[in-house]
Amino acid sequence: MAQVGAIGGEMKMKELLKGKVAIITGSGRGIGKGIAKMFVEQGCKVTINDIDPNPCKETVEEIKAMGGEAIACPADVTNVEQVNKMVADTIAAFGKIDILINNAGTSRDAMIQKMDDRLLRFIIDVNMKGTHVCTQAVLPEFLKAERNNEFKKIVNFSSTTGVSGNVGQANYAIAKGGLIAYTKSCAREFSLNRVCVNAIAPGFTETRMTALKKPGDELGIPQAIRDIAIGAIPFSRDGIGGQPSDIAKIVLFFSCELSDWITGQLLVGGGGSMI
Amino acid sequence: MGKFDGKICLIGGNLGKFKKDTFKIGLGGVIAKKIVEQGGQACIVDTDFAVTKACAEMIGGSVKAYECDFFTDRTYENEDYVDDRGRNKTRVIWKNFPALKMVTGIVEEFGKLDVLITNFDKFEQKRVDKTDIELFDYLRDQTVWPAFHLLSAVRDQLSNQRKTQGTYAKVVILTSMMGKAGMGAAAIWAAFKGSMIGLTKSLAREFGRFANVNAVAMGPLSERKMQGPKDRVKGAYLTTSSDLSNQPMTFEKITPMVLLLASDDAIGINGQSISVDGGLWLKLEQ
Repeated sequence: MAQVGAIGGEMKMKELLKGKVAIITGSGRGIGKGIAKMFVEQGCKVTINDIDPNPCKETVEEIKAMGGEAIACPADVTNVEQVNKMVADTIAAFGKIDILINNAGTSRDAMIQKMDDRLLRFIIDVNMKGTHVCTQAVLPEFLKAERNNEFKKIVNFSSTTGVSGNVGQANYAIAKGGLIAYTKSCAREFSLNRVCVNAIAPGFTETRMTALKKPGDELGIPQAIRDIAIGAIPFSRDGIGGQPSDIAKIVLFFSCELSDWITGQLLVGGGGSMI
Repeated sequence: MGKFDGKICLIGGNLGKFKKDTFKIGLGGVIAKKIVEQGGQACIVDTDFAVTKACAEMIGGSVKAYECDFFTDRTYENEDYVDDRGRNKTRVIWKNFPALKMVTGIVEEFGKLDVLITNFDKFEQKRVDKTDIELFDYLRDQTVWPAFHLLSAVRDQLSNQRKTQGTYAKVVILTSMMGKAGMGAAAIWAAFKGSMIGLTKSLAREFGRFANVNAVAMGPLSERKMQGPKDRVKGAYLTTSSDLSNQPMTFEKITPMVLLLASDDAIGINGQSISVDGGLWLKLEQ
């Protein structure tokens, strides 16, 4: 049972995820890494996933240095075999899975008149197909009859772009808009099995995708676009957007027992940018 | 006087299908028919020319039928040029883009394009655990690709018309209200219907200076889409009939909203996905 109490005048929550096991996709860097560290602080054992092995290993080492338990499972989330192996490795290491965070995703922006099919397919597949493949892979574990009505949790990552669109992000809006409907569909489909499926729509968050783009960089965005995006966030200070830890707090809520009676919902985490 | 007098309208998808050698008109075909009745020039397109031809013959008049491949990958190259003010510029030269070729042909023949209506859909009902990658790819391609190719193909033409003729074009994307509400046992299909709503909102922003882009989120057109697997509790799986009629939607109920959004009366509407579902959305939102 989680402890919630007032300590030194502040509300502290401890061990909200004690004894739980989570797979967090795309957690070698950025928001996913922020979620992983917060989950470990709350007593969770975590599987760290990224398409690149090195960030996986580095994050696992950081978590072990914190005194947490984690394993590295590098995998392409759109590859069924690799994802199934990740799920099998997690069960072998920790005995079960309670939480799936479908955080892995990316964006590559272009106006529609300059967006070819390769770019369109890549964004749809990483964001939507990756979420579907990972969801499918954990279902045998999540729908086990012997789990005694315990709630399982899936948190999908949409975006404010999926909610209201954005210039130059037609492909990303297709993927993230689709994930809202996918979340609600899964929530309906698994509701009788007490699997909570919710989505978060982060606004502008400081990651390598939103960092200042320098000449030769594949990822990142120009300063002018950063200024516009950050300028639209009432909560921002000193020209900085939301932090991965800001988003991790919302994901934590959707992953712990505080949200047991919530499913099929979308929560926007945009620092007031979308009201 | 018709609402579409002098308007050149391109309507793609769900024009109809053959049942034992008899052609049964679809929603796209009904929309095209109404546009013709209100004075517009309808150009209809689908991937199968036999379907477009049969639909054009059924509607009659001057309807033009086109067949288009939306599934071959488009690629482009950048070409440098010097504009009329002597500035160095770069333009996109597309390769393998049949939809662009078709739109260019329509503009050459009729001088302009005022309206684009997309209505591509293939419904597949399957639970998440049974939806394999092949089905995911199929639904992605059938739902997203034709609409995206057509939207990409008309973009520069509509923008140029605003500059040269001062006109605002109209784009209407037909999707399902399951893309807002989700649907058990059809998660991927519903997801791509939701994708169309995300696309509508993004393009409403991108096209805002020269076109209105809106979506119609229609309620279920058949009993099959209104029910989940029989071995489960119905409420958990979705779906339920509408409060208003207790019946599936029909083409005739949906078409007026499509025509409104495709007409000049919709000049003040942009980026909306309007549910035409007889009140089903109200019920699902409870």
